[in-house]
Amino acid sequence: MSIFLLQSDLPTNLGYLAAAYFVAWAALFGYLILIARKRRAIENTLENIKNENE
Amino acid sequence: MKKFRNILIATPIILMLINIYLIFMVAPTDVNLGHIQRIFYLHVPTALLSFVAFFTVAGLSVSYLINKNRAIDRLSQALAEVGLVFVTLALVTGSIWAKPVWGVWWTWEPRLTTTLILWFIYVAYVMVRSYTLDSGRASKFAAVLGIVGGINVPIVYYSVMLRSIHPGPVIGDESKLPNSMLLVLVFSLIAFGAVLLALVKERHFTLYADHILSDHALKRQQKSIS
Repeated sequence: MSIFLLQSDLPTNLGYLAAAYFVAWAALFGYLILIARKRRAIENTLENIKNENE
Repeated sequence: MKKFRNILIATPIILMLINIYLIFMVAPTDVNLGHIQRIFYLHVPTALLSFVAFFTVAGLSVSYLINKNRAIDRLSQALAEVGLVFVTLALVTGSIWAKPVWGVWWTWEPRLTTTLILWFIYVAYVMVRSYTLDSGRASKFAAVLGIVGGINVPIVYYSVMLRSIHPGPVIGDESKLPNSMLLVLVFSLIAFGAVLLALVKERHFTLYADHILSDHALKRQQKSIS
């Protein structure tokens, strides 16, 4: 009973917690997408050079 | 080579999934702060790893100014960019934590202010790389900024000693963290470290390929003129 009361008395602030994790994952995925797009552009250029040389 | 790349991408994903489980299911809830304290497992690793990245950038920048090695320059650029992403996350998550705990999103106290200065230095670093037309000069300017940023890292770290309201060190002799929280924090550091390495490796590859392609284009241009 005392444990239950202690747990329910704790401040939750779950909205802030969710916001922090959402922002972090969005930023990391955003940066990953940016790198992936750069990589794709490079691969396309390489493909074009290969086709020109053939 | 492709197998190595797959491992490099899969490792941080697996570690991060375990990390999320540990943070939300294993780590105990703080008796004073409640669940909001779990931001700490995100904030501390991103901050610490950005400091490591910037410190390494400073070392690499000194080496670049002496040797003018392009490989070192590329690695430095990749580390600085990923470090900037990490320090941005540390600032944003710290601000989100501060609102319910301190009652404000931001306060001009030593740790926050010095971290913001560090952030501005590395924003300038990325802008110099992007907007300076001569790549050789861009590398030189960026290396100088990288060294300035590296000098700022210990100032940020020790700024908590200057009448700061920011919590003190959580790792080392002064730590008052219980073992159950410390273990999750260490795992989180490893998981975010793997993410950092994977991002640096990927970014380094694009920079390397970019350099080769621009050299190739330059050679073709010279050939067509002659």
